[in-house]
Amino acid sequence: MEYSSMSERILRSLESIIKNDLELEDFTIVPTEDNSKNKSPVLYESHHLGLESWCVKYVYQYICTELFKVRKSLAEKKLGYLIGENLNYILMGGLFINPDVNTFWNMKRELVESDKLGYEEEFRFSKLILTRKHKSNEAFAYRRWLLKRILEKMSKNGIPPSIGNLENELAVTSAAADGSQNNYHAWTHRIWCMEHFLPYFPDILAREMHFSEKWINEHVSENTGYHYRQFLINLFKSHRQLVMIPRYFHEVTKRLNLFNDDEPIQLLIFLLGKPPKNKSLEDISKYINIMIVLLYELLAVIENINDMFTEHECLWLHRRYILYNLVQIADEYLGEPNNTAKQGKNASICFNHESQSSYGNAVTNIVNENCEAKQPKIFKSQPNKFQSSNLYCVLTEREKEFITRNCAGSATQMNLARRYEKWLKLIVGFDLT
Amino acid sequence: MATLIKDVKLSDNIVKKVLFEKHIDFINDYGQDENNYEYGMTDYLRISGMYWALTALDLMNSEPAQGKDKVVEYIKQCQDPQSGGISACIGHDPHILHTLSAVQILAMYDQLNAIDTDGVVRYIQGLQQPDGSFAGDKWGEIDTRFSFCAVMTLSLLKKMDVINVEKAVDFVASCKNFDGGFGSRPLSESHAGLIYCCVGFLSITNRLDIVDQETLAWWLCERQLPSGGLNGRPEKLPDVCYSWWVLSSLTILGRLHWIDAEALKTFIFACQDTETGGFADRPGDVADPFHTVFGLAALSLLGYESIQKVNPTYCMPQRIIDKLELKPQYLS
Repeated sequence: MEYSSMSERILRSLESIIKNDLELEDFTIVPTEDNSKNKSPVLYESHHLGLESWCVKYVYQYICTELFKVRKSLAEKKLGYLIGENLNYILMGGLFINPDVNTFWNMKRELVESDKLGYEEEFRFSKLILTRKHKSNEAFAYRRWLLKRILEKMSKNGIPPSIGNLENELAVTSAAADGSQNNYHAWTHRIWCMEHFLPYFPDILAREMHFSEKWINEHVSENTGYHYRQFLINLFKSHRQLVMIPRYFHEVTKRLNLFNDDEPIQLLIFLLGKPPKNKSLEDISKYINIMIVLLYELLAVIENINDMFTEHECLWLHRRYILYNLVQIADEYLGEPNNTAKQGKNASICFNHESQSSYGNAVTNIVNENCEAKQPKIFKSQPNKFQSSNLYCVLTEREKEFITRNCAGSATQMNLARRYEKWLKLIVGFDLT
Repeated sequence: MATLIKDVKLSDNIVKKVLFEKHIDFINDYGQDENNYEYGMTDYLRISGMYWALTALDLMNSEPAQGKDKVVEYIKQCQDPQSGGISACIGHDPHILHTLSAVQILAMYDQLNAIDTDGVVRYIQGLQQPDGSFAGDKWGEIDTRFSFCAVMTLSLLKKMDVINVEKAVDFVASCKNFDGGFGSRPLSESHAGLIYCCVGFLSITNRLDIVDQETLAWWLCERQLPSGGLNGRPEKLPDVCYSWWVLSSLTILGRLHWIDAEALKTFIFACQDTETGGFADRPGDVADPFHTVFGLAALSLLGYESIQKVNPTYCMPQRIIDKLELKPQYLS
C-alpha cells in the first residue's frame, strides 16, 4: 500500500508520545488543507497532542486494512503473541480518528482480557478520546467495562475499591460535561459510578450535593445537571442515617422564620405532625433528611437561581420535581394512599379544543384554561391529613406567591409560570386557584 | 425583553409539500461511492443506515435503484455464523442494534429466510440479563434501547416466548421517572428518544398499563416549541428526528391530538433541502437519510397524503405489520 510506511511512522509517533507523556492533556485533529510543509502531521506541544487532518484519510485506510486482517484471529485467540502485543498502537490510531467504531473498542477489551493492556493506560487513553469527543458513549461504556472488572475482582478478594477510581471518573465526567452541553452520556456515567461506589464511600454524597449546586448555578439551562441533582436528592430517600447537611437545615429554618436552635426533628413535627407510631427511628431520620433537602432546594436553591436567571424551563421542571416529591413524601409519612403516583392512570384530562389559540398546543397553550380533569381532585374533594398540615400551608402560600411574582415578568416567564400552575393542578392535583 | 427560548426562526417561503422526487434521488445517490473516505468512516453504522434509507424509499412508494437482491445479499454476509448476531458491516462485530435493522429490512422485503433466523433468536435470547435488561452485545453494555431492539426483533420473528418477558418489563418499568418519561437506565434522565423505545417496548409486550399516560403525554407535548418543531429534552433545539420519537409515542398513548399538528408539519417541511433533497435536523443544515426517514414517518403519522402509512411502534410500513399480523397495543 502506497501510504503504509507513512502511516506506520505516524502511528508509532502517536504511540510514543502517549506512552511517555503521562500528563498528556488532550488530543485533537487539526483541520489542514494538505501537506504543504512536507513534515510530520503529528503536532505535540506542552502536553497537547494533535494530528493534521490531511493525513487522516490515508492513515485510517491503513488502520482498517491492518485491523480487519487480524480481527477474527484475535477474537478466536489464535493470534500470534507478537502480533497481539503489537496491535494497540494501531487501535489507538483508529479510535483517535473514529471513536464510534465499537469493533475497535471490543478488540481493546480482548487485549485487556488477555493481560496485554493494563487498566491505568486504558483509563488514560479513553480519557484522551473524551477530550476530543466529549459525548462518546463508546468511551464511557469502555470505562464502565473496565470499572466493573475492577469492582468484581476487588469484591472477590474482599477488598474495597480505591476512592481514586471514583474521583478519576468524577473528574472525567465533569470535563466532558463542561465540554458539551446537556451531555447525556457523561451524566449517565456519573450516576452509574455513584451507584456503584457510594456504598463504599457514603461521605461522597454531601460533596456531590455541593458540587451539583454549584453546577446548576453555573449552567441554569441544562436539564442534565438538574437531573443529576434529582438523582442525588433521591438517594436521601433511602438514607437511614441522619446525613442531612447542617447548612441546609439552618437555611430552611431561616427561610421559614423558625428558630433554628431546635432539633431537626422539631422541624419535621412542625411541618407534618408527630411521627406515626409505626415509624422506626431510622425511618424518621430518613424523613428528616429528605424533607430538609427538598425544602432547601425549594426555598433556597431555586429561589436564588430564579432571582438571577428567569425564563428557564429547566428550572421550572426542577421545581415540579421538588413539589411532586414533597407531596409524595408527606403522603407516605402520614400514611395516606399515594395520590401523585396513581393519578396519571386514573384521571383523564380533556382539553377543550375549540379554544386553541394561535400559539402552542393543548398543553403549552396557557390561554386555554378550559381544560377538565375528570377525576380525583384530591385536595378539593375532602380535606385529608396532608391538607391539615403546616407543610400544606407553607407550600400553598409559597407556590401562589412564587407564581404571582413570576407572572409579573416577561411573557415567556409568565407562560412558564402558568404552565407550572396548570401542571400542579392537572397532574399532581394541587389546585392553587 | 428578548426571549431566551432556544428555538429556530422559520423563513417565510417554506415549500409546503414533500419533494418526493428529490428525496428519492437523494437516498439513491447517498454514499454510493464505496471507495470514498467518508463511506469508510460510516462503516460502523451501515446496516442501520440501510434501514433508514430503504424505509424512507418504501414510505415514498419507491424501491432501491440498486435492487433489493443486492441488499439482501449484503445483509447475509453480515451475520456472524457463530453467535447468530448481525454486524453493521462485513468484518465488524455483531450488535443488537444492527441485528434489529437487518431483520426490519428483511421483513419489509419478505426475505427473512435469507438469514439464519434461529441464530438471530439465539443471539437475542443470550443477551438478556438476570434483571431482565438486555445487553447490546456480549460485552454487557445495558440500555433500554436494547430492550426495545430485543422485543421488536423477536416479535417480527414470532419468537417472543424465548425470553422472560415479565422480567424484561420489570426492567423497563424501573427506568420510569417522576415526569412520566424514561431514560436509558434506571435513574437516567427522561429523553424523548428513549421514551419512544420504552413506550414502543411496552406497546409490543402489551404492557402500556405501566405508563402514566397523561403525565407522559404532557411532558411530550411540552417538547413543542413556538416554531412548531419538537426537541427531545427541555431547553434544547428542535430536531426533525424528535418529530418521530415524540409523535410516535403520543400516537401510541392516544394523545396525538394534543399536538399542534399544522405547526409541526410546517417545521418538518422547512427541514427539506430543496436543492439536494433529503431532510436535515433543522432548516438549513445538511440533509441525511436518518432525518429523512424520520421526517417522512412523522408526516405519515400526521396524515400526509401519498406517504405510506407508517406503524408508530415499529417505524415500518403499516402494510408489512398487517401482513405479519402483529398487533402492538395502543391506548385510547
